[in-house]
Amino acid sequence: MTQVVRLLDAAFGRAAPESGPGGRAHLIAGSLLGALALAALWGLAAGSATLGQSLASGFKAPMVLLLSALSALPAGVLAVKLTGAQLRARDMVASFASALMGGGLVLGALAPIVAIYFHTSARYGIELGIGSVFAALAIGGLVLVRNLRVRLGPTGSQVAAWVPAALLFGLFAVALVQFVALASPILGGPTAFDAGIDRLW
Amino acid sequence: MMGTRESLEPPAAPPPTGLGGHGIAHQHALFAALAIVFAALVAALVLWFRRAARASEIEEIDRLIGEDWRGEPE
Repeated sequence: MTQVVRLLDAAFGRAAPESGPGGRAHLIAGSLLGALALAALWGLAAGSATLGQSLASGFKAPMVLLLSALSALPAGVLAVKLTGAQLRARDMVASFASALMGGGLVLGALAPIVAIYFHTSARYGIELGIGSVFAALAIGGLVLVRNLRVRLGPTGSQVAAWVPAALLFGLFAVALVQFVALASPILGGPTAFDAGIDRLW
Repeated sequence: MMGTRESLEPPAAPPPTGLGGHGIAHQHALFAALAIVFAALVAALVLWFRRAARASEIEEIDRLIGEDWRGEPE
């Protein structure tokens, strides 16, 4: 139970106090698994037009999340080093994992609304599904910055938290667009994101 | 005006293309490969989580023993 509280604290932008390597690894792995589970829940709701689509989306949504995160992470860690921030790579990884958990909590919380709208509104079902993803991205970005600022401490440069966070967030979003296109359909209908960046831009 | 046989036939539809102008088969193969990678990553993540949980428990016990022994938090 204490571990769950730690995970949630970190996901709400209150970074956990420094613990040993085992505790940190537990926090990172738990946050990632929690985010994947919540994304799967959202996928089940977002694709609930048919049973097959729902199960497929329940697999695709966490897949897209994890692969996008892993694609963006190396550049984010490199940015930490290049900006000279007083952060360690593991601080960035832990903050990013907590941010994914924060975004996953938004997806999980909105999953019932997405499902009910998808089944009862012809006009707003898809839009609400997309909107929930943007809300999760916004909250995840906020959590990332808050966690990095906490880990920097009062003496660290705040710019040093913003630059890697912005780069990591931007690259995560860019990767997400293409993985979503590759895995589409995830929502139960066509969206502007189905063809990737080529048609979006 | 009589058209040739070829001109009267409707033009053949272009083959459907996947993302980036590659074929649909390429897109499906890429998705399948990524799905396998994802499944492997999740399995590794679960194993890592279990190992980290044990390590975290040991660290917590060490910390508590240290507190009792020294009479103050580390």
